[in-house]
Amino acid sequence: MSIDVKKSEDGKLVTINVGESFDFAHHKEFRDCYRHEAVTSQFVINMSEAKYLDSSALGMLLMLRKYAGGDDASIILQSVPDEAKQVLEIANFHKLFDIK
Amino acid sequence: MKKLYVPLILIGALILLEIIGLDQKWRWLCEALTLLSAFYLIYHYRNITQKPELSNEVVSDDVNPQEMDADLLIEVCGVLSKEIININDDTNRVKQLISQAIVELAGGFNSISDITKRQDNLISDVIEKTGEDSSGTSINIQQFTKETSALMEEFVGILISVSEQSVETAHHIDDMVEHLDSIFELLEDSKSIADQTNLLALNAAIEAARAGELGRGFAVVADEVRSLSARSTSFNEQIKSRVGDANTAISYVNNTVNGMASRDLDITIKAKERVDSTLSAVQGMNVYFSDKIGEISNVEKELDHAIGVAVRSLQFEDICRQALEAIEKSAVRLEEMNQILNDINRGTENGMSQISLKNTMNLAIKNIRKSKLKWGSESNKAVLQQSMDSGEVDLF
Repeated sequence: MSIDVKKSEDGKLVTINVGESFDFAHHKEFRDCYRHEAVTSQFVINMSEAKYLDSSALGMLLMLRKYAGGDDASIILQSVPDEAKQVLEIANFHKLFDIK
Repeated sequence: MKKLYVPLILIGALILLEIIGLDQKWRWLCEALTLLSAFYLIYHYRNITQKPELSNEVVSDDVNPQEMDADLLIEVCGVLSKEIININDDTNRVKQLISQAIVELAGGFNSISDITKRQDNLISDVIEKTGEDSSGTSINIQQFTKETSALMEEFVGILISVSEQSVETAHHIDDMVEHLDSIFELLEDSKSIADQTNLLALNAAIEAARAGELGRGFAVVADEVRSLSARSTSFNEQIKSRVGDANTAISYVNNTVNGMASRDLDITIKAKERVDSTLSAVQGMNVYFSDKIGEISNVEKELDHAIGVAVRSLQFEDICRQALEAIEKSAVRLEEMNQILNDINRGTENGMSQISLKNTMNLAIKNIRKSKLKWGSESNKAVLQQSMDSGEVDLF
């Protein structure tokens, strides 16, 4: 399953749907979704299908955050399943990202 | 006294007859008889009041009643003596029993008090050892759990940091691969240039051959160009193979980075959950301990109070002793009375005269009255405690 990306009309909102396997094998794909966008864009990562997260997923999200300006980044992790939420909690990601 | 019934009935009947009303001569008879009966009654009453004097004189003439009195006195004195001895023996025994019991009870209560104090100290020591504020060599579970939890968080942080750097490395590798790919493309262009050059040189050689003698110089140039393009092509191949090697090396790096980046966090999550639940359990235990210590403290206060009540109640010994001493005093008085009776008894045995017996008895009566006065004043001086509640508290 691959990662797809949608961009809003005014180009300021970027929605990335990560699909079922959000892991290291897809790291280049994920990067390609955002590397040509403006760093000031608002990013929404749809994680509704991501049942399993390992540390590489966390690494990828952190790289996105770095790209988008670190503390200035505007990233929303949307529709996070409960198991994935556990992983995010243990990594203290609720301090770094907007988790919904 | 039975003798009086007759005259009384007679008077009653006569008065009745008077009231009924009879002839003159019968009335005279009734009144005469009434008077006679009245005189008889008066005479009889005077006899009764004079009787004591009569009995004294009877005693001096009659010996048997005196002997009977003597036997009675001996019996009574004997019984009194025996019972007085019994009373003294029993009161002594009771006094001893109470004294002994008091000593043992007091000892027992003091022991209980000491033991509870020791218990209190032991519990305090245990609490200190496992308490929240203790440090150093003592066993502090809560401290340990907190440190473990913090350690786990640090560990997770390191894992994630490694992952982040791994992904970053992967990105750099991707960039490198892109650069290498672009080199490949350039090499392709270079190859096509070389190929084209080769073709051109070939054409040139053909044209040179066609020109004959004049084209011989040109043919040499064309040959050189061809060999140059061949060398260029071979360099291309070498560069391609080097780039291929680089790509292979990079793919190994990619695998390594892949391994570094992808760590299963499941075990860590479970471990952290266990540590967190242990921590909250330990905190729960601390609250439980605090509550129980509070309860133990209350129980010990109650125990102290109960021991105090028990020790106070041992004061019954005083009351009992006083009561027993009062009994002993009464026994002594009974003994005095017994002595007086004995004296009288001895007097009658030796055959005292009537007058000296009377004197002895009068003396006895005087002595008894003197003793009674003495006892009366003694009773006023003694202050007897009637019950436990009326006394003051005296803790041993």
